[in-house]
Amino acid sequence: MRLGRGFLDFWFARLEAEPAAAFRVTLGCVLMFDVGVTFLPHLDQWFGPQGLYEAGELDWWLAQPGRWSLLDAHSDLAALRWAAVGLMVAAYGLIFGLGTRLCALAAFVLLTSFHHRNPNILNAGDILLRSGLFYLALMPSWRAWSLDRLLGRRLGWHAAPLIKAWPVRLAQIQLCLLYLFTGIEKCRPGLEGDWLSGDAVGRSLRFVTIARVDWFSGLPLWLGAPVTWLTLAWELAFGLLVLWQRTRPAALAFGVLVHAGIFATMEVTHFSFTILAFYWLFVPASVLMDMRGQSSNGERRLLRVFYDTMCPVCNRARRTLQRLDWLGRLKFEDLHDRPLCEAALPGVTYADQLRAMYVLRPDGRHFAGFDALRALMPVLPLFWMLWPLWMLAWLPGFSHLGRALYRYIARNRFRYASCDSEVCSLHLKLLAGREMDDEVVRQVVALHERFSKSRPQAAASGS
Amino acid sequence: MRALHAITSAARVLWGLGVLAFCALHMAALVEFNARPIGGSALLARVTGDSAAEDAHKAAAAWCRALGCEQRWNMFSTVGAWSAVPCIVILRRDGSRTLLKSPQHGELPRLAPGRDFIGAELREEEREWGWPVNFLNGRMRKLENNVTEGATGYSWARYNYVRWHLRNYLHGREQEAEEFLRVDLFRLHVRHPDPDGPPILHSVEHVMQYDERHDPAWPRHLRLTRVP
Repeated sequence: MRLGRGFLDFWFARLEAEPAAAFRVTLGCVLMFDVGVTFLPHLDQWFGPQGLYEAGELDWWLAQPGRWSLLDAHSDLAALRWAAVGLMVAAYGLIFGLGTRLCALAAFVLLTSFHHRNPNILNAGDILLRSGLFYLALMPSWRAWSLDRLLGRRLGWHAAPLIKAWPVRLAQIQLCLLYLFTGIEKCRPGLEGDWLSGDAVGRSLRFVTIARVDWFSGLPLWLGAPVTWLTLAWELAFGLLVLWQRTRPAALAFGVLVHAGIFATMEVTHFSFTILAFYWLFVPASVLMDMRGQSSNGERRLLRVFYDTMCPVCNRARRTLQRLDWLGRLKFEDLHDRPLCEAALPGVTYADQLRAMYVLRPDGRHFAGFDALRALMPVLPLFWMLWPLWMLAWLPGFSHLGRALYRYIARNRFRYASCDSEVCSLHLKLLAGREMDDEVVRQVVALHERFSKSRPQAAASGS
Repeated sequence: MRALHAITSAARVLWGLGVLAFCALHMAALVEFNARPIGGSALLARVTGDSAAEDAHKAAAAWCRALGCEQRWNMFSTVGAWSAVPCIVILRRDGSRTLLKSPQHGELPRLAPGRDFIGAELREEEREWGWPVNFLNGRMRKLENNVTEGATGYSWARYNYVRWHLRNYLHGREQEAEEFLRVDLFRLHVRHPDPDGPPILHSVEHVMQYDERHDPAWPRHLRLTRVP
């Protein structure tokens, strides 16, 4: 019974629409780039009746079962231009979410038509883009981040920002199968430079016709072996890793770094961006809402940061965060304000909070220490720019290191602090490397009373 | 009212079943299409028999093609230590040659100026292959890869490729065609660099001679001269 319920939930549960919207916007941008940069300037040469294929030359290929194209062999240049313009319009429609469903369908049909007009110039990214548009046509991605939704609201039609799971599941499964079959294929011993021998990444970087530049050709091949094996293992396990919530962020973060690396070092047109568009479908909607600073219902989202106002290191960290909070998404709270903290973070003790900074998301989830810093990254635009750092923070080795480093700094904060009052030094000495037992907490409370009396205004404003 | 509710419920159940059937078919088609080259079809044939497995593959392939998902996922599965780049060589009556090089065609940095390397013996030191910066040339690279990869791939594109280049070359100088003795497509094998040395032009292989008489799409007003 439970299994059946779980199965139905997997396919038919209602999901928040933000990941689908991010998928849509990214695919729209890729399509715009693809058509604008790689199609339009060479339209005549790639697809025209006087180009690579004369009218009718691909009829036999198009006659294979399942193949179709609106741009048949006799389409003239004017028809091609109109089709390309239609694709551009559809791309903008997807980006802004105007006529979204129609644009997704039009983009799929027109792109497939172009692809079947000249299959020789297609990379894996093209087919992935095409299949992404197909899945997009199935999902009502307009239910978030779209002009359609905005216009609907103006007209008094309030659609819930939720979508049925099944088209999202199909796209997710497509990505998992892609990695699984690629991984299996790579396990077959083949030519020089195969994956099992560990040569593949090193060889890819010196692939004359694909690698962008020859900077890595002097490096020994064995240097790429760990990355080769790690990538192979990740590809084979991707489906399982994203299935489990705990390993999903690491699997996605590693993928982002791999594909960014591929784009930086190899010319594979838009493949990296297209495949990363699928990643949005695995990202929790709350992260996307945090990035946007707005919930599905239009409410402003603020992350609450609970920190120790008596600790100068914590105050310095708070000032730094405030400086990085360009979009005003953070609200700082004093952890010594116990009624407020107990209401906001039930189950988190005073002692817990003295050990680490806490961040509370609007959805009620809270994070401590290094995890709290990581939870802040989606709302700080600087980390959008430093996204490799953000991704690294999710990888197993780095996250363990980050947590250990945070604990060390928190425990030794008195070493880095310059106290301007006796209360401050006493507070830090009290926390330094000791167990947070009831006695310590009692003394901290007493100190905070002194602190509040000595700096009533500062404590009240949390500065 | 109750009847309406029952009809709505039945329609919802039917829609749900339809969606599930579509999802199951789609996933089965994707798996069959991708598993075939790695032994999936042999496994299926053992269970269902050869003809049923073949029918299943045809159906899966048609499904994937129609829905735009017919990519076989094997990206970078065999990287290899070699690349092949096409090169069209026009030989004129006076013995001179014109090479219609690919944009991926690296220079031969140590080649003496004016030296024509196609068909000529190259000295070892002349084989050093200049690395072309690969940026926004992915589509051309793919086309040329399809043209140069063995007989199985898109070898049917070779004729189109040569004609396409020739026509572009002759645009505005059609009279030159009269001077052409023959046009050939060559495949240049480039060995990728290793820590000890740069990329090397290892060998040049003749792929085909282009003969416009066998190409119905060749513009008839352009007449190439051939070896008598």
